[in-house]
Amino acid sequence: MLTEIESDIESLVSPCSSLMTHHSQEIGKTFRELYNVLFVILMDHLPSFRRRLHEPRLGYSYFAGEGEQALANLLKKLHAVLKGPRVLLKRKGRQAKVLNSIRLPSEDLLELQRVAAELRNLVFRERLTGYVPYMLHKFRAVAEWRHSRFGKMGWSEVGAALAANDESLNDLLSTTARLSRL
Amino acid sequence: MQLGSALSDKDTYLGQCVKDHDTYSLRERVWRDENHLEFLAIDDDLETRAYLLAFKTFREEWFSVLREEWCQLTEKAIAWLAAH
Repeated sequence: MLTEIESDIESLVSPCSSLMTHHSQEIGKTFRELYNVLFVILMDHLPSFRRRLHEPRLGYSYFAGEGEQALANLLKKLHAVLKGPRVLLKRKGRQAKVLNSIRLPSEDLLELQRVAAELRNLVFRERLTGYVPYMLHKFRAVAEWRHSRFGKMGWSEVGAALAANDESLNDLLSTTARLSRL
Repeated sequence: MQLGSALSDKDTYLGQCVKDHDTYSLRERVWRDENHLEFLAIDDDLETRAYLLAFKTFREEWFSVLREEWCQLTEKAIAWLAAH
């Protein structure tokens, strides 16, 4: 699936880059957001790009497991919405006149914005997950955390509480973060 | 995605850099993450805030200055590296 994802993203980056210059501010902004997040995925998370540049991977992963499936689904949505514009750009070229002739129904634009937002969240979590074990390890040294109901939990249970938006964790995290800096 | 349910290479990369005293790779990685954060996160739920807090906790503990080409480690980080 990885090779498919890489070629999917490579094929989407180029039209998004062209459509960033669309004279409609809203369309331009939407494609800028899409381009930015797709480029980060391509540049940092997918192995081929960094390998071609002889750059180290820096511990970035390519969304294995659930993340990989979520990424594949989002790319599928993008392909569906961008089918028309991509065909047009391929047939007529990328001159400003052609680009600006592209109109997107508001529901398509909304769908693109939703996909961009979901991609951003996916990348955000994929990149920052590596900092969490460090934080929790550090928090275990703080009495407030140790004596709380989370103190004896494994990371997966804390993760589940976070995913369930357990508000009792909210204040505790801030307090512990402050105390751990003292 | 459940935090730390099964720690993989991506979860232990930072720890490995620290353990190896590889501050060059650590700077590269943390700088890239910080640089991309401003346009990545959009939700304001607890999980997102916790991820940001985790990043901030690490970033502040290790780097007093963090730029693309150079960095300055905190006194605490320098002391840790000298002791291990």
